[in-house]
Amino acid sequence: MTSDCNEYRNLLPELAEGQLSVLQKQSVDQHLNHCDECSETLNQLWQMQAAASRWEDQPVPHWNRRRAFFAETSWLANLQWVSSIASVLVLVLVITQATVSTADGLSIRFGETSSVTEETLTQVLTELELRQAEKINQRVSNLSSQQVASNQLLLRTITEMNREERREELSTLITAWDYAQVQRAQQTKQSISLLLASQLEDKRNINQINRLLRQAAVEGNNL
Amino acid sequence: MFSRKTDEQLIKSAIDGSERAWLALVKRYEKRVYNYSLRMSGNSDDAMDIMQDVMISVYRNLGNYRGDSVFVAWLFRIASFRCIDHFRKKRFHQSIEDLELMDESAKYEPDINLAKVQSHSDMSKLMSVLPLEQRQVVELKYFQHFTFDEIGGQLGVSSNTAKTRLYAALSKLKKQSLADEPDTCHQS
Repeated sequence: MTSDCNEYRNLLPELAEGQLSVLQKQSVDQHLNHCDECSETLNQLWQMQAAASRWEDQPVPHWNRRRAFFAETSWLANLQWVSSIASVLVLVLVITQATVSTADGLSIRFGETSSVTEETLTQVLTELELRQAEKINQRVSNLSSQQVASNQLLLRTITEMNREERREELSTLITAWDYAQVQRAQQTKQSISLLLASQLEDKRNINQINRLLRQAAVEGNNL
Repeated sequence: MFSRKTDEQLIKSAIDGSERAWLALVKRYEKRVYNYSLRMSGNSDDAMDIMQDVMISVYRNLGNYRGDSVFVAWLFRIASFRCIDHFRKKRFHQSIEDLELMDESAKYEPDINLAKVQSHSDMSKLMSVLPLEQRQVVELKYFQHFTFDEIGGQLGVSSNTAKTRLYAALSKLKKQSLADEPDTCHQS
């Protein structure tokens, strides 16, 4: 391989991809015309391109992407801790034969044979049922009272609003009536003024007519 | 919803904590990385291992992606390192220049040469003949379509060195095709 070959060989990949300028391509082609080694290299580059183009992408096998990247959610991890702790707690209660009682008189004993009979259990359950019924009735009664009170309040509010609206309407009517009265008074005054003016005119006309009649009478007598 | 977002938008959302954005980015590139790994390793099990390693590495280093290069270039830079790590684990006592695939029989596969590659399995067998560093250059040039400057940047070498490795690969494949000629002796 000559020193020229090293220079032209570096351009062969670009030639194979059609990325050389016209002048560069001409120069490389001239070299290839008398260099079998470089021509063979170019041929291999083309073959590599062709071989690569025949590759068919293979589908990705199934995999759990979420599990690969993200840990289990914290609530799930905490849930497992909670269940473990609960199991240990129950075990401790059983071993120590603990007793748990509530304010309602319910009592739970762990780890010993129960002395509770069916009759006793039925009695306790019946008492609990009665207490529950009482509480429900009390609750319903309270709710009813509350509902009544709020209905009364609503009614009072609506009544007051209605009264207010009536007052406003009445005030509007009175204002309109006053205005109408003023208008009528003004019109009457105008009418009276006009009447007086026309009466004066009439009187002037009558006086003039009388003068004319007197004149006519005097002239008639003179004739 | 995430199919039209750019890589940078998905990365930003993933860094902000969006799992869906990250998984969308994985689905966008997993096939490309899987097939890269398949050509580099020659078998689907190793290809899956490499692909998952690459994606996990990318995920862990998302905060380091500064956007000064195209995401794909950064992705395949990581893929190159993960690939080297993978083969190091398989053959940790060999130097990187000497790493080759396990399947020695592929070297003597008859009728597998550059001119006769017809399918992806032929290509896999052909690639398996090459040492890792030559295989990387062929892969990045002819399958990922990077320039020699970009290849050099990803492998940490000059563009001329990348070209030299390509020619070395072609030379090796040529010798391989000559070795497969009917009148050449094979040793078992």
